[in-house]
Amino acid sequence: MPREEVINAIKSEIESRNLPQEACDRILAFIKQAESSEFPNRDREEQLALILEALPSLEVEQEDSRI
Amino acid sequence: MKIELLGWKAEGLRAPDIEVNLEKNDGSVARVSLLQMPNGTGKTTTLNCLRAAMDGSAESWPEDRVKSYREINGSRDQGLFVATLRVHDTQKIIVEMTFHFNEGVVTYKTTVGSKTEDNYSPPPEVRRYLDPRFSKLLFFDGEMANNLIDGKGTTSASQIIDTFYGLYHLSELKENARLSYELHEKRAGAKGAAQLTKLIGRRNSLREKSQQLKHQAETQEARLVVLRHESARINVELEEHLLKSGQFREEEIRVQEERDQASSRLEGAFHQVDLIFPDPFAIWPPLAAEVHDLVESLDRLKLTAQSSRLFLEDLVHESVCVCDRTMDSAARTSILKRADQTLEDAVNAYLKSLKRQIQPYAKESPSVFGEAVDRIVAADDDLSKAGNALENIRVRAAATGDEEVGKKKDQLEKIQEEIDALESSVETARRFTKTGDDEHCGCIDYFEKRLKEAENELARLSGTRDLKHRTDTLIQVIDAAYKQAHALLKDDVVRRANERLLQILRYNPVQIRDIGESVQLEGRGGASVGQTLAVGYVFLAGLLYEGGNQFPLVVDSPVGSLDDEARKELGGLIPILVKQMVGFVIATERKWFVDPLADASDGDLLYLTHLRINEYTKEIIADLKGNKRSSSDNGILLEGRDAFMALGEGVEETT
Repeated sequence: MPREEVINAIKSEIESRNLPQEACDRILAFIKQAESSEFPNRDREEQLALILEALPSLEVEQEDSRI
Repeated sequence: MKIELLGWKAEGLRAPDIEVNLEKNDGSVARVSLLQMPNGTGKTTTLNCLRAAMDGSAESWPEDRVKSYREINGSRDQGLFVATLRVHDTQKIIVEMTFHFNEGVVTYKTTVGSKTEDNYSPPPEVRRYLDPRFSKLLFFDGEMANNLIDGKGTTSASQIIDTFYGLYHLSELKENARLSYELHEKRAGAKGAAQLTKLIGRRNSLREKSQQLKHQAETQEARLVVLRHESARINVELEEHLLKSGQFREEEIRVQEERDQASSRLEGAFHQVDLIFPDPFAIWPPLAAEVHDLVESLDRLKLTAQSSRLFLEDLVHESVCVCDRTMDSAARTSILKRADQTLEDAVNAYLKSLKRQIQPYAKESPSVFGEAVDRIVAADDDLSKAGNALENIRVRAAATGDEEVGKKKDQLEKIQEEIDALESSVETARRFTKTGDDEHCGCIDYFEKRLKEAENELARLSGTRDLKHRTDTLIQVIDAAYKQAHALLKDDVVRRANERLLQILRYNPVQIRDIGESVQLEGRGGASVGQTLAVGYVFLAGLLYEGGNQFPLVVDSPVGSLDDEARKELGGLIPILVKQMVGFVIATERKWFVDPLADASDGDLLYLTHLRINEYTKEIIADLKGNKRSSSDNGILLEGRDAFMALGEGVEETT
């Protein structure tokens, strides 16, 4: 598991930017797997795609800023 | 995680064939194992093989490097190195490296329990700690502690924290995100837009320039720390020299006192300004008069009373109250009854309090803030005068032909010249961009802004704006999280190390101020060699043994060229800080080091002497009379303090 300080820092940054909790979970999953040293490139790409997918799109952000 | 090094075995390599078992009879390992290996017994070969056995790095060694491990004039086509580790007191991990000299490759076998695999494959939970970024920190030499303090080493203190706490995984995620985005961008660019290709080139060159400037600024900042440290040290030496020299003694003492007093006054004045800052009336007294007039006017107008009454009188005509209750006759009566008091009370109380607060400033008294600033200016003037007076003493001392003063003054001037040039360069690099900056300027902010523009333009042209937006968001989150986590962990490391330093350097304490490229110490003077070593070892040991972790420390020449005092200090320190140290030493390192080390280890020290067997050493080995721990046709390992201490003392070391 990543260090508590790392987990808390990511959680706090995600919350302060009002980003989805799912993005936080996926970032932490990525780091957890990276720590295990068994993280083939293909898996890395897949997990990265999942993180990016969980982050708000440009369109959503622009809508939010208009509101 | 607890990892112990139980021993190793070498065959057919440049080092003599030997098996080194570090286990004691009860199966535990000694707190300190000292392995004396005279020149020619393959110390470097053994250390490199141990490192490669732990981190699996020999798989990627180039052919000529592998071949260079072949025994000199040897006929064997294969060599073998086997390292044995133990995890959590129970699980043995045996890593076997076979050197195929004809092919120039090394192959691995890993045995965990009863299972053997034909590759390098320690269990995943252990592998993290055997990663080269981590395991390289388990192998250090006497210079590493010094390098940590002066920042001259290849690994910065800050990086070591990132390595121990796995913060580099955050950087990896960031880098993965960046590369992945660039791949998408490239694919979009492959559609043929020449403009896009040109823009990618510009973006890359801007990024390269920005990174180059950041690296340069960091290197210069690290150098500045070293130079300021050096300058402070020479200044202290110079002052001490002048005090000793007699001729300027009284004057020097007087000016130093004046300087210290001015410095203390300056600190006091700054502290006072800190206290004044939250009070706007103290900073600018005319504001008090303005506010006073405003409060008086409000009082005269009775504005607050009127506005609150009017609001409540209007409210009773509504069908529903502001609190969502229906406005019935009872509510109307109650509201009108209190209409004169409700808001007025609170506002009046606030105005009265404000009046009280500004009362002291209403008189035409001098500005408190202005007085504090005057005190800062005066103390700063005095400090400058004292500095000039000290400089004047040095000039006069140098003029009298005092070579030492002249030499130190020259050194200081050279250092100051370098400091001025570096400060100017760093200032340019770190400032915000300004009008007139162009691509020849050294300002990081300028290149970062141009880079951002180029990236946005690229995203627009390549149709990857959304992906760019998400990637940027991720990178921002990771950057901020890294800064937050790194700062917390670093503060904790500093706090723990300082607590430990107070315990072990009770009579001559030194404290860590901060950890950046180097471990920065409190105070302007330099630390002694012993203190520097203590800080380096405490810093590393604090990380290695944090939270119940335990790793072996393999130290090449633990005392190297240290003087007698520093050797004694280090000898007494190591067993307090580490749980398993394997030190590779030569005979000249024993003096002043081994006895304090043995005392501090409470006897938990294994003395080993490793010699190559040849015609010349056979007699020496017989004279040493140690217990044979293992042997082969060309090497022997002796156990025991007597043999260890006798080598080189009448018993020749050269093999």
